[in-house]
Amino acid sequence: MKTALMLALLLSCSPAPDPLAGARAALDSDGDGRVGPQEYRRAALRGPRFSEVDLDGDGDLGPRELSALVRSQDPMRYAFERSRSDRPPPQDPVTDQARRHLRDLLGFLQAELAAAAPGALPLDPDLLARARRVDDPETVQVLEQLRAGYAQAGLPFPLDQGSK
Amino acid sequence: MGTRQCYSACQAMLTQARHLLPLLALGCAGRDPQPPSVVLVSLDTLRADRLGAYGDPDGLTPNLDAFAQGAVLFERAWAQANSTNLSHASLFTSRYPSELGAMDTTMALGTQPATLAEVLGHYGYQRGASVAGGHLRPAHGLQRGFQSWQTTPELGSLFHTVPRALEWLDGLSGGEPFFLFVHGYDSHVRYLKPPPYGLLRAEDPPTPELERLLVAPAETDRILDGWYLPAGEGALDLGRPRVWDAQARASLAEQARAAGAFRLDEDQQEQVAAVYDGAVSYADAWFGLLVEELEQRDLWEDSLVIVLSDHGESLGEGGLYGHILRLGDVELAVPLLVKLPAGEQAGRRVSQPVALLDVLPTALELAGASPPAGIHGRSLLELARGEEPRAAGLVFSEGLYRAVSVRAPEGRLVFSGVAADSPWLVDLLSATPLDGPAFEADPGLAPERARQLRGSLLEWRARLRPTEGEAADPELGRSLREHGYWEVQ
Repeated sequence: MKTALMLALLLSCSPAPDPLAGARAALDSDGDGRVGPQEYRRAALRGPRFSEVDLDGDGDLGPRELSALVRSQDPMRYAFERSRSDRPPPQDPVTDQARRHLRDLLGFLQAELAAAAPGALPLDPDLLARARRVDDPETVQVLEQLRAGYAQAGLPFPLDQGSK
Repeated sequence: MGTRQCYSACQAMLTQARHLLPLLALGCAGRDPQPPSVVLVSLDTLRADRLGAYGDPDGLTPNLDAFAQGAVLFERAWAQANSTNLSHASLFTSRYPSELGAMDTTMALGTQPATLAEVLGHYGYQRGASVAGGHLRPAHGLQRGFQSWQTTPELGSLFHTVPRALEWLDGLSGGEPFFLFVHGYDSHVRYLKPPPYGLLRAEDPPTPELERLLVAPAETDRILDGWYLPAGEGALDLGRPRVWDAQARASLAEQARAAGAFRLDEDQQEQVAAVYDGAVSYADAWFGLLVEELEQRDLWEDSLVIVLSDHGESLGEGGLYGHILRLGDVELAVPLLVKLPAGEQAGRRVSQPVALLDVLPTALELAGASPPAGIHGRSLLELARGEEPRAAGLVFSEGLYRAVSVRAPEGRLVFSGVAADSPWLVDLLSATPLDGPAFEADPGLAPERARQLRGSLLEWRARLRPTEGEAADPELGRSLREHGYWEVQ
């Protein structure tokens, strides 16, 4: 018991294990203790280039660099970017479906105005372009009310992002 | 034992030793010790069988596995519902979803019954939550009892919620205990995660066609019997069927072909599962970072830490993907890990079936708080301490789409076709033949036992007491369809 307690005391003074060590081990497919460009590329679908994440340029994605990578890549934005990467530009006219999508979005924004971080909402530019073409009076009225609510709260209105 | 496991075990020993002195001092002074802070982590859509601690051999979850070494692991924990809002509403109240409001994805918790956060607040706890939107948006009412409820706008991640949770903790003043709830959708649809986790577990990159499926917010619930059904207005109208019916499936396949669907081949199905596994590893990594931060703040050892998932995920089992369409084992088996303060009972495994309903009374017992009347859960502390194991209980669950189930140690019985809150449920449950298509029983379940379990379902139903939920919001329903709940009317 005494020995175990001493060991515990010793370990408690040493740094905690790296929470991302599992990922580094999985990336290191050749088992040489380093994560090189090939090993990184195999797992990183269209992510940042190796040269961008290998901050010290030593050819190895070390624990600190991996931690910086994980802490910097927003999964919501990543999925969003990927989901529209191959999509053709929108050609379709304003449809009932587009109106419904906009109403859905407005309902969502109304629910979130007080509590969320609306400025961080990564809205699809294609959908935004479509939304701006919706012109039925009922939807436009809701839109304007919501825009005024955001203005009153001092927040940027998500649907105005990127508009000219 | 790996380095981190060894580290955790030694930390637990050290903590136990450290706790002797304060306890002795308190005993001499005649004062009650301060109740522990409570950290509740919900890893949305995480299948129990993906954790190494639950038997997965692939090393997907080193941080959760290390945590399990210092916690009590419940081997057979079942969720009470197969959707996020219903399951969390049940978790927070220890009541069944059908008692709390409309049995659909728009359900919003009303002003009753009392929530875990409300009761802890009554006992002086500071309460904060950092959640990832979706079904935990304020419109669903689950924030009741929390002083702070921070949410991301869409289906967010621990990437977003862990830093916000830490900010909240750093802003606390005074020495009162806290209740922190952290949630992330990391293994929910939109499985594909940023580098290096996206393809960490995959052999090959997905085709562009498959990649679109893996990053879309709503797509996995459109994979039925291997058919991938594209999104779109009116692409499918099955009348909210029991999709496991042969007739419905035939109709589905016909509609899928007409809609231009493609069929996932075996390789593609494996890729979907591998990308899900990458998402599991991503969730595990962020859980590890949360643990590290709490340890650095000296908020770890003395806290009660509960890690769970609200439901599982089907990855092709039974021809289905997603979680909302049935009450199978893969949809309802969840990890449940409970780290008691001071590392008590570290490493114990409990094999008796338990329910997420049991989390509320467990936390309240440790907090020295009285549970509210009408709850259905029972504290897990006796089981965790190996004291007088209670008789193997039955665990009941309610499906989002017209199903109820009971799980006994020897198997499950599922009744489908009628919603859990239907006034007709009892009559139909009583009258429908057990060998008909409405019932699904595990193959090993003897007919006599199946009859008994049907009786148990009826008794259970009679005990439920609906409370007043909020009326479903039709706008919310429309929005939910965009997040994968495509059958929401």
